[in-house]
Amino acid sequence: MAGVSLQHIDKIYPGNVKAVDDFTLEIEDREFIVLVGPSGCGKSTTLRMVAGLEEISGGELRIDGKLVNDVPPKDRDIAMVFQNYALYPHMTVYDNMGFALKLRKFPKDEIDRRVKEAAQILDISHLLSRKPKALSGGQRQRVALGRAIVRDPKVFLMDEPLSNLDAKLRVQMRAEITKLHNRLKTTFIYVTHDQTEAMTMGTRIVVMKDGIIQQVDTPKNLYDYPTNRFVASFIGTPQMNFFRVKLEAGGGSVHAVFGENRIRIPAPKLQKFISDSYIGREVIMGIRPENIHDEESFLNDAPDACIEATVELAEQMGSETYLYLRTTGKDDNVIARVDPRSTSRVGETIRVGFEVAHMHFFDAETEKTILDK
Amino acid sequence: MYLDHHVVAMIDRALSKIDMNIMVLDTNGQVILPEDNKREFTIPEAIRTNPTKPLVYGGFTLIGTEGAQPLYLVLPGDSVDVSNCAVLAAELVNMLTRVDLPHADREQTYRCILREDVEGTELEALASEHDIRMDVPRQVFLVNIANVDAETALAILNGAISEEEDTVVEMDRHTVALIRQSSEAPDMDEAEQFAQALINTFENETGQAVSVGIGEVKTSLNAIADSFEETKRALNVGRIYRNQSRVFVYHKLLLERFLDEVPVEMQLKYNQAMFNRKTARLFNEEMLHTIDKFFENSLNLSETARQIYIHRNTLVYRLDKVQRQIGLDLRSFDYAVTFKMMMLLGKNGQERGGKIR
Repeated sequence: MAGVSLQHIDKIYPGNVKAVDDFTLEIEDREFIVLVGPSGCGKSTTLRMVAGLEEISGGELRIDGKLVNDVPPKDRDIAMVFQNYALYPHMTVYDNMGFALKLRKFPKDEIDRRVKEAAQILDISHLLSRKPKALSGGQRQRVALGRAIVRDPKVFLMDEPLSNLDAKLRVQMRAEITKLHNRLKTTFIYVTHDQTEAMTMGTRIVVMKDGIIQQVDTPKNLYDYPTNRFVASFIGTPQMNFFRVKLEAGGGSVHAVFGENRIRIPAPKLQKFISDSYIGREVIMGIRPENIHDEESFLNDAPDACIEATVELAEQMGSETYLYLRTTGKDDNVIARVDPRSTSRVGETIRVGFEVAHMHFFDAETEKTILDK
Repeated sequence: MYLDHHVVAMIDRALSKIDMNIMVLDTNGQVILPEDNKREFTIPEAIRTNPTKPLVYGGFTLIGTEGAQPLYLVLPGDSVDVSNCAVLAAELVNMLTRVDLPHADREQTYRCILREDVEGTELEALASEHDIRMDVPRQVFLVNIANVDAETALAILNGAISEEEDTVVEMDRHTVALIRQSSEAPDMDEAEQFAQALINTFENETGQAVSVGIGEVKTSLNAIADSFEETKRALNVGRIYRNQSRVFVYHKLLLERFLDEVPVEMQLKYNQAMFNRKTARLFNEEMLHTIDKFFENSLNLSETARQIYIHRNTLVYRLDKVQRQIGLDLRSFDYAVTFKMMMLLGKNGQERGGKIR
C-alpha cells in the first residue's frame, strides 16, 4: 500500500515530441485513480513511466515517498496488468500465476501460498490445474489479474485491461475489478479510453488531452462541473450538445440567442456574465441530452427556455428514447434523451425545453468554463 | 560467428592482458567488445577478402579470425609490433571460439544446426548423440532481447519454456533463439500467445521492450535452419512495416515481405505520389491514426469511431476529405488496399534499429 506522487512529469520523445507535459498529481494510498482520454493523449505513457517502462524526461516520481525515477521496474514494487492478457499456453493457471515469483526465486511453499490465496480472492481456485486454452476470456483475464496479485505490490497499474473483452464481459469485469480494489485495499492506477469505465470505477478521474491534464475530480464533479469544453464533451454518452450563442441583454433579462432561438438565462448565472463582460459577446452553451425535455408539463413551466426543432430520428432504447433534432443556429443534430413514452415522431416539428439550471457556458476562445462551481 | 556471453567474457579477460585497447567486431561490423560500445563499422573489403592477413587502415591494424563468419579485431597503431600482436590476439580468439563438434553440447549442436554449420550424416550423428529426434514438429522463435543482459534474458526464457521439449539457444549479443518442439502440430494462435506472454514478462521484469519473430513449423530437424531464417526475416520486415507490434509472424507478413523486395527508390517514388507536399496537411498525425484504425477495424466505421472516441459523422467527414483531395474512397476495399500499400511503402525510409543478420 502506497501513495504515488507525480510532480511536473514530462515525457519528450526524440524530435522534441512532448507526449506528457507537466503532469502533476498526488495519488493517495488506496485510491482508485483512472486516467482517461482519447488515443494519443499520453495516459498510457504516464502509466508506463510510473511502471518504469518509459524513461521520465523531467520531473519527480515518488512511490511511497521514495524517489523512483531511476529505479528499475522490478524494484518499484508495482504490478502491471496489460491490455493483452497473454498467458503461457503450455503452463497451467497455477504455473502462470506463480511464474514471476519463480523467476524471483521465491521458496516453493511461499509461491504455493500466494497463488492459492490470489486464486481464492478471484474465485478461480477450481481452475488452477487447467491450461489457458480451457478458459473463457473472463477467466483468462482473472488469471492475468492473479499474476499481479501474487506479487503483493504496493501499487497496481492497469493499462486498458478490459479492452480485449466483449461488451458483456467488460461490464462484468468492471464490477469485479472494483470489488477487487475494495478487497485488496491497495492503490490502483487504471488507464482507459472508455469514459463509462472511468466513471464507474474511479474514485477520482484524470482527464487528459494532448499530454496535458484537463481536470482531476470525482466522477460526479467531472460530469456536473466540467472545467472546459473538452471535458464536457468527453464525459457523458450521448455527449453534451453545444451551441454557439450570443448573449443579448434587453427588457431586464439576458438571452442566449442562436438562429431563431432564444433561451432566457436564469438570474443566478447572470452575475458572472456581467462581471466578466460577456454580455453582447459570443459564448459556447452546453446542455446534456437528459436536460432537454419534450413533456408538456415541462414546456408549460419553462416557456422562456424552449426551442422549436424537427425530429430527424428517434432511437428507442427501451428505458429511454434518443431524439435527434434539427433546429436553426446549429449545424449538427441536437440530441435529447427523453422518456420512452414520448409521443414525438420523426418528421414532426416539436417544442423542447432546456433545464436552464443545468446549462454550461464556455468561453468561445479559450473554451474554459465561464461559471464557477 | 556465434559468441555467447561466457565466451565474450573469456575473450575480454584474455585480451585485457594484452593491454592494447583491442576492439572486437562481429562479422557484420557491430562492436562486441568493449561491451558498452554499441557502434557498427563498415568492414573494409580488403580484410573481408583475406581476413587472417593483418591490414593497416587509417592508423589502425585490422585482422580477422578463421572461419566462414570471422570476427574482426581492431588494434590502435600501424607498426610491425602491432601487426604481430594482432596475429597473436586473433589466434587467441580462434582458440576460444572454436567449437569442437564431437564434443559440442546440446545447445551448441542446435546452434550449429540453426546456422547451417552442420548437415547430412554429421547432423544425424550429433542429433543421435544428444537424443534430439529428427522428425518431430518444431518451430523457432527468435527473441530480440535489445538491451537486456544475456543472463537475465536466458533466465526468463529458460523459466518460460517446457524443459523436456524446448531449447533456448543464445545466438548473439542481441538475439536468443527458442526451439519449441511438440508431438502434435503446434497451434499458431498459441505461438503468438506465448510470444506475447514473453514480451509481457520481459517488460515486467526488466522494463525493456523485446520483440519476437516466429518462424513456420518444420517437421524435420534439417529444416529448422529455414525456420530460423524466417524468424530473422520476420523481425527485420515486421519492425519496418508493423512498427506498432512486437510479435512478428513470418507467414502473416506476406505483403510486407513482398513490398520489402521492391527497390527502395521505387518504394519512395510510389509513396511520394500520394504523400507529398500537397497532401502533407491532409495526412497529419491525427488523420493517419484515424485511417490506420479504420483499416485495423476492417473498414468498420462504427467500431473505429468508438475506438478513437470520435463521432461516426466525424469519421465520415474525415474520409470524405481524403476522397475529395486524393480521389480514393477508403471505404471501398480496392481503394483501401491501394492506400494501405502506398502507406506501407513509405515506412522503409523511416529510422529503426539495426538489422538482424
